Amino acid sequence: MVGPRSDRSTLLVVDGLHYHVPGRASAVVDNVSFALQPEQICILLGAEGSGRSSLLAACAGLAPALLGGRVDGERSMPEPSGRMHCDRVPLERWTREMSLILDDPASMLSGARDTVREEVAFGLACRGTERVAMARTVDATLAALAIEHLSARDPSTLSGGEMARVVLAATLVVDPHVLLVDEAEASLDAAGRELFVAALARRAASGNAVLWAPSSVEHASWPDAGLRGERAPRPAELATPAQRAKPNHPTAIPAWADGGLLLAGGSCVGRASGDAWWQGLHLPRAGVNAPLLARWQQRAAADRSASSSLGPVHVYNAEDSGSGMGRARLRTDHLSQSLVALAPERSGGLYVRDLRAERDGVGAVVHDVSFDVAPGEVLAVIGANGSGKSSLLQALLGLGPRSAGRIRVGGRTLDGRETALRAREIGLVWQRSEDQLFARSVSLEVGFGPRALGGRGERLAETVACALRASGLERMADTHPLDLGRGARRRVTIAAALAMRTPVLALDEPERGLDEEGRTWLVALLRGLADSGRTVVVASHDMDVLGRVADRVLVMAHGVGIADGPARRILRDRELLATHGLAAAPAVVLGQALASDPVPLHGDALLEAALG
Amino acid sequence: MKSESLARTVWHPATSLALALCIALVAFVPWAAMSHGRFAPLFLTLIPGSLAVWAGPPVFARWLRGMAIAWLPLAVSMLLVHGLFYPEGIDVLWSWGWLRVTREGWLFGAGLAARFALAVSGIVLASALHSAADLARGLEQSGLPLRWTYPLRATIGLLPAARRRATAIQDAQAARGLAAGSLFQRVRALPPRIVPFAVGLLSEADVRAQALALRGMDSAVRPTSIAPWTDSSRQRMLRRALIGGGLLVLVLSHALLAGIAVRALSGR
Repeated sequence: MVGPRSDRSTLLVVDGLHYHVPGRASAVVDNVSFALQPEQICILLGAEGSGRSSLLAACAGLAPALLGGRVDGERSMPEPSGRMHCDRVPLERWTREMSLILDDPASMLSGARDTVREEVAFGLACRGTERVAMARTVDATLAALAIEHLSARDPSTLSGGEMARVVLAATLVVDPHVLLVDEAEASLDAAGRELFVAALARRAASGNAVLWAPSSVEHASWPDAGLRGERAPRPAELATPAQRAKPNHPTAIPAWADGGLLLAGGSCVGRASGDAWWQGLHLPRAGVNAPLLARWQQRAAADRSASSSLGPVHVYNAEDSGSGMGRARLRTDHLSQSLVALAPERSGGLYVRDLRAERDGVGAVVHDVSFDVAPGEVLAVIGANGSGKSSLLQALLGLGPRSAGRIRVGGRTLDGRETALRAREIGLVWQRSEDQLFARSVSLEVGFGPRALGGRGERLAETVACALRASGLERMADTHPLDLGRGARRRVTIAAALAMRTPVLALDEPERGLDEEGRTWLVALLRGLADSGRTVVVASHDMDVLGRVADRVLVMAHGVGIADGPARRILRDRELLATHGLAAAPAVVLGQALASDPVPLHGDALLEAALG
Repeated sequence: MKSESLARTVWHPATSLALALCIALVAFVPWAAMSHGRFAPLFLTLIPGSLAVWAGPPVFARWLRGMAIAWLPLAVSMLLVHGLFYPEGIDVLWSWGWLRVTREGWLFGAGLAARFALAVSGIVLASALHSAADLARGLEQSGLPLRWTYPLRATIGLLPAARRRATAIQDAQAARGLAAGSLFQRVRALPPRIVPFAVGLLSEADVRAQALALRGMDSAVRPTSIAPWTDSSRQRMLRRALIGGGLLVLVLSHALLAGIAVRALSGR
């Protein structure tokens, strides 16, 4: 049960939990109660700023021990003599039974181990585990997560997705009874996500409990069904007997989880148990959408005017998000006007031939890639973790130790020009917002790029105001960027690139850190940019977002462009995608199962098709 | 390679560090009080030097380079400072205005430089034989608590990551049009480069402290290792002998000096 009732076997009891942090008038976690039983996977949902990370930190014992503030309420786990209470035992004792995976895998690495194998063994070594037993456990965990090949690598040289797998392995080896996960799958490609979910299912099936805050509700409710690889067991094969009994048919949502908790404003505003847990949660009020399949089922049931066995499924609407939960709405209605005001002085398509890039210690990461993008077109760059997507975008600006190739924007050559000059033609949204934020206010941060390119006076102020308006940041103009949440920081970096008014805009995983509302805004923004004649290149793992915005898709694998074609063809080619560790969007999988014609590329198209 | 095989299979890093400690202790023996002992440390420096030669030309080259970097600048400054400004100097060798080189100051500076040469020669040998990461790993596996060895290992391990982060920030700001060609541009480019780097380091240190706590670093038990160094009882005995011997020599020499001084005072 997700409810607060408990007995001796309950693995985690949280009752009346409040967490106050210094400098905040209201509690970041406000009177939250729940209990986790053995073999349970509970999904923790909520929009940006809902208090999910704070709740997980408090449950893991990090608050107040390391994070400060004040925590009231019960946090307890079973021990042979009764129950162990978090505030009565040292943190070291509490973390022997409980682990938390944070959202930034790089920060989870010890930084004191030379190889991945040693890094994974770190937790066991700290606990004094005997060498042979340690080696056996570590090697088995590396194999289960299909990362044996990384065993001898230096952990600091791994890609984001590889690091996320290593951190998961390093957490699982210590065999925690309760595993807490904070958006740790965000940087994983489809293959990695499938292994990730399988690992969580395996952890729960062996008598432990998992509380998972996914970066997208679809990650917790949808199989990456495009994959049919032999190297890893399917999550369904690892599920509990009750879960295995569910038919693998589009009318049944694969149930990784047994329950869900919904947070908004630090409070628990919904809880539900059972396979169809999302039906009991009023997700839209908290700015979260129901899983696509649930929404489709409801639409289909309504269309047939037949009684459905399903409970009410609420569909997220931007109008809902402002109601009752203290969230500021992210408006998209004035977007097109702002984008017209931000139009570049000269437009132009992107012409790339034989682009090559190398990285220190790794060698060539992009091999002779060629493509064209016309003005008003959106090119999606997809590929598994480490396929060279980020390096490709950076090479467009001549970044990296060595890059070469012919690049033209609107016929103007960029060959041999330094990065600062290329920035007049190509704006790049960096993958990590933290790598560029430095100014003392959002407006100064957004104005930095145009100022560096020579913008001054009223024109500059107007540009900054337009970029802030387009990104829904007007009310945060004077806030320090580092005081913002993940999603708002992301929007600051996008606004900073918009303000540079370049003919080409390249975005590296722009959806990272954005919640449901943020993704809706991102889709409107990318389409708006293309409609206003800008050339857009976007690298992403989010097939649903790409299905809404992309005109063409370039598939990368091991630094090589292995396919380039219309989005409607590539995003529906599940075999091609699966071959390269990618999965089709849930709408494509469901549409093909339903023999829809044409197969919808994204959730909205699927729902519209369901309405006929 | 001879040195590599020595470092990797035969010579445990903790043994190298024990030798370095022993040599450093010997450097604190009151050499200047002994007759003609002032320059003895310089001759003793030949011992680690010979070991470096025995380990192979690459190790000897690294040792020489290390000594040049660690010792030479300090030795020159000691000679200059004490040679020119030694307050108790009587025998003036050369003077120019208020500057004067005295024999006593020159000898004092040279003696200090000789002792410093011996003190650093051992640790320079250890760093020539092993990488810094291996030295830290050796310390950890020789039984020192993780809490003591972690800062060293983490500093070494995180340096490349910090360098990559600095490059990424530089690239991210260049992609926003930040030019850094002329000196003026470079100075202007400092805040956008330094602030994200410093904030990133602080925030990462904060999160890493949480991660380490979650991964059990505060555990009271003695840490184990999945890839331990080959160690032997002989080397363990040698380490104890080196540290014990160094301490003994230091204590005895100072006791001897104190005894001589007491006898001299009572005789007077």
